[in-house]
Amino acid sequence: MNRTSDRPYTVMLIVPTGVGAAIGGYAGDALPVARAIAQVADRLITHPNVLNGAQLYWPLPNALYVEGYGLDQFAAGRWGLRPVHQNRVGLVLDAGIEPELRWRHLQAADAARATLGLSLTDYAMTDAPLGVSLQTAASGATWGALQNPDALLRCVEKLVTQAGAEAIAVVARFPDDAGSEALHNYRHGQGVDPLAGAEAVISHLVVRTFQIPCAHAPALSPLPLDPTLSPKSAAEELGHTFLPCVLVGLSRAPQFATHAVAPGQASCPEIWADQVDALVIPATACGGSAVLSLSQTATQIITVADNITRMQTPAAALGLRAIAVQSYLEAVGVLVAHRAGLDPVALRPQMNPLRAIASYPSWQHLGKT
Amino acid sequence: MQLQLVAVEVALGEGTEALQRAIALALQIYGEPLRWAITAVDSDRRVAQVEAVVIVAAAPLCQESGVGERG
Repeated sequence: MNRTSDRPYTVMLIVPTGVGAAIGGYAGDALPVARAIAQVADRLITHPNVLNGAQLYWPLPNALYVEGYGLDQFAAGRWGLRPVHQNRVGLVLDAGIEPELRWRHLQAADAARATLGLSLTDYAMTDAPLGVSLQTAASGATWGALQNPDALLRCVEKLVTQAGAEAIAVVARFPDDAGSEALHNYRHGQGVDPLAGAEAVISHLVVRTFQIPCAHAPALSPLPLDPTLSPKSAAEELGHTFLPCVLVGLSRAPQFATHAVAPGQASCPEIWADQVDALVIPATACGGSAVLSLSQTATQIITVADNITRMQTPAAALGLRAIAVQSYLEAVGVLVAHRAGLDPVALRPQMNPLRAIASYPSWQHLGKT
Repeated sequence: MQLQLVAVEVALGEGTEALQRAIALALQIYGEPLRWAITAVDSDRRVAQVEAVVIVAAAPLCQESGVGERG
């Protein structure tokens, strides 16, 4: 795409995790949306839930893999993003993972080193099982908690201080619930991902404490073959782990700049929230921290009606100005127009004439000169 | 450290900046907000339903009467 100005056209794509998003609520099924937007933007800022497809992933050179807590801090203007060429990734393994499954994860990590050339530090195991528990809130969103969050943080600290890890991949043992209705629905491309909320809490905790990139892959026992498995959920049933996409994403995830440096003093250009040109979000899920923060800036918010979620927070209910579209295809069209400096109204068959602004007191009447 | 799921109701007020401050204040009663989202809006009552996971500091062991001391 030809650049029409010196300012890189930057788009943020958010599909909140654990809210039953029709697109992106399953096994990396929003990745095609990210690929499409990455074609029309100079930079795409998005989060692991969008880019992670377990064994599947797609290298997008202009995509920035930013964990959700970091995304919220970035959108609020508190943190910047500092692109990197590579990160040394430290692997945390939950002591609660049984030996055979732990070996599968270590082999996935070794495969990423040998076949993809990723840089990993020595791994570390938590000094106590993390004890992940899953919860579904009244809204229908999934959440979760850890019995031993301090064990996670002690392990990460060891990787950062002793092994020099610059990004953290966490593998926590999640409860197996093969017969549950929630899992059955998920495997058939419906319902809410029962694991997603707890996964977000784990990575949020690490990013909040250490201010470095983090992402999570759940350790689960393999599921029996289901010939009726939904294509949207299939990527998570190809292998023994969900780890490959996490390692790939973290290998080039931007570091966080917790304070701005003077122009010319940064070792490489940093990205701050005032550089985000557009935000694409499901129409009913506008109630997140990042959306509310960016609504206070010049960022153009685009809401997508097709991407139904369990949330009930449309932009209008929160007083947010947004362009409402039906599909991500239409959203891509709006981004192209926005980038070109076009009012989308000009691309529609009907256009109303200009009207005079509503009645306003004259300056003389106000005593101003 | 403990993690706790909480739900609160916050008045919509005027503007998103004020709303974010009101949400932060409402959640800080329970702990440090780690992750939160407005999950629904009641436009008639002008309130937002918020769900969050907060960090609760572990309560210190009581120093009096031997409670919490190990024998």
